[in-house]
Amino acid sequence: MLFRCNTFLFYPSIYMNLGIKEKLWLLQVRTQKDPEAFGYLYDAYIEKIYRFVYFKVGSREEAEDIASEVFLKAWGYLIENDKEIKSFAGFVFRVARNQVIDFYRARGKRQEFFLDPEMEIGKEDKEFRRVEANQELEKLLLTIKQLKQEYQEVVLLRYVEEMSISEIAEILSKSTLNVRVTLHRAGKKLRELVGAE
Amino acid sequence: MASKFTKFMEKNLQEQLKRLRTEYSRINPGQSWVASNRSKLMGQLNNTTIETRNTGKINFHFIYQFCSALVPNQLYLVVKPVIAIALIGAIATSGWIASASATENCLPGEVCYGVKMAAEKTQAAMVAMTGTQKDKAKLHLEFASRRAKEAKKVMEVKKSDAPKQAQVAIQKLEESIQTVNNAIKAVKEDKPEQIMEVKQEVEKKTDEIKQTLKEVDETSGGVGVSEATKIVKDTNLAATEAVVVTKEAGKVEVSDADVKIMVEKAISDTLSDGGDVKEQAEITTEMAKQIQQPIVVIPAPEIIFSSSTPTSTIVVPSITTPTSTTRASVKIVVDLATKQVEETKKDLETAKELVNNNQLFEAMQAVKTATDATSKASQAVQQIKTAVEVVTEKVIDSVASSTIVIVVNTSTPVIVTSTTNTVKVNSK
Repeated sequence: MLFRCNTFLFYPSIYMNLGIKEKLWLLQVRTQKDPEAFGYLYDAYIEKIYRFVYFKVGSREEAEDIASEVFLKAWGYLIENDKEIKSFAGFVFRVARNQVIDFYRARGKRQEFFLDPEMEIGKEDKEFRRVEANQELEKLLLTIKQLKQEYQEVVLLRYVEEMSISEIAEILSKSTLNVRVTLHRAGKKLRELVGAE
Repeated sequence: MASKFTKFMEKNLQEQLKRLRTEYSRINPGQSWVASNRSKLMGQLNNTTIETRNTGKINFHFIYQFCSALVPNQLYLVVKPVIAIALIGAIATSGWIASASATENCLPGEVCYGVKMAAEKTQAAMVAMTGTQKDKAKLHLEFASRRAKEAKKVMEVKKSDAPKQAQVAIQKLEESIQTVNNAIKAVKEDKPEQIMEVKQEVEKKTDEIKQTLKEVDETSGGVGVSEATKIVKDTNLAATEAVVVTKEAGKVEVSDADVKIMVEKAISDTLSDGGDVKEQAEITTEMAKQIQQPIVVIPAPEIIFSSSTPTSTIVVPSITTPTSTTRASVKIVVDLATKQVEETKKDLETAKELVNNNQLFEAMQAVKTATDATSKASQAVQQIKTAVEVVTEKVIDSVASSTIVIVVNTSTPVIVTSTTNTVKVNSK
């Protein structure tokens, strides 16, 4: 087993798929406090984390602030803590979730989402209105926003990010069965809402 | 028809959701921000690592985690021992001193703990072969101190089997201390001139271990530490006594004043232990007052009644007034313990006088008697306290709907009726 590990240590990029690369980067971060390895992890996850956060806070500036904070926090935890971390994905999404919770706690109110498309769209992305397909997606996004938090998360992770059930279970600290059930319910509810519109 | 429509809709919906990521720019970060944020982050990371960067040290603990993360769960169970053996092999070939530190954070119950133990055994074997008894005592004191810290950590992590694993560590601690004891005897016989050095080390480490054990005890996880604490205290006393004896025989060069200070410290330690016992006794009484459930306490006869009270008189079989019975039972045990502690004070006063008359060996005997009595009282209080804690939990869980009989560390069979809950408390 050790021999296998060593093989990977010496030939990082040729034989490995992303999953194993990630584990190697994680190991390098933890054993050697290697910022470069963490940089690769950043590259692999920044977009996912940004989308996850944006979904929850609904503003570009705040999503950017929180996403960069997430990676800084993650780094600090990884180099100072010995606790076992099975997957970086699960870990970094949990950090993101906590950061969002802290963000709302600091603002002293419950989670709220932009439900006023006119304002947001007018302000940020005028171009997209010209494309009819984008209008459709905008509508879908607003429909998802009507779901409860728990459902929004699984829909985002499963269908937008296309993650596996076990990855989602890891991120949400739930059993795979629980994720399946939640996903099923969320899908049903979403179909209902889409159908009603 | 309906299901076909649902499926079509579902597929369509899933396609759209996927497009949210690929085509819908608003929920995606701007590439320029991604890049600028990356370089900003890298700058911050480099700043944090300049001081702490670990250059090239292989950490087997993480490698172990990494290997286990690569293997699927079912297979993992099979390869677990293989990984452990491979790591032991790696450690054996790469120098045990460095490797022992790589597994220093491993706790009982973890597979790498075996690696840590193996490394320590190698260390102990090497000292046994090449080192002196003094080195042996030092090494095993270090091991004992590690075990105490492990027990504390295990209890802090709070896994479901924490008390069991803590007990494993405490058991090993007792073994290490026993080895220290033997080493002290050996030094006293063969190399009396080194006894002072050993004593100083013992004093330092045993103080530390006692403190850690006290903290383990305060986690209230039902881990019996009183036996271990007693052994640790006895070892310190044995070291002091060894100094006194070798000094009187003229085999060690140490000033009278220094030895006196040592004996006086032993006296004050025992006094303060007595104070602790009293404090615990008060807490226990207070806790027992909170319980409304009828309880019969049957304490271990050999512990509390060893001095003057005949055995088996404290079994309280009939319960007419439930709460008062509870309090009465606890009160009897606690009062006896407190009384015992009071009596030790007299012994310690005698010891002080003996020290003043330069009769240090006799003073040490008095201190030992007092320490024994205090330990017994402490164990009795500890047991009744653990019992009260267990009962409090049961009552909180509403498990106990009827009388609870507590059997404290006794082998005597207890006959209970079917409506009675028996809680056997076996605290060391």
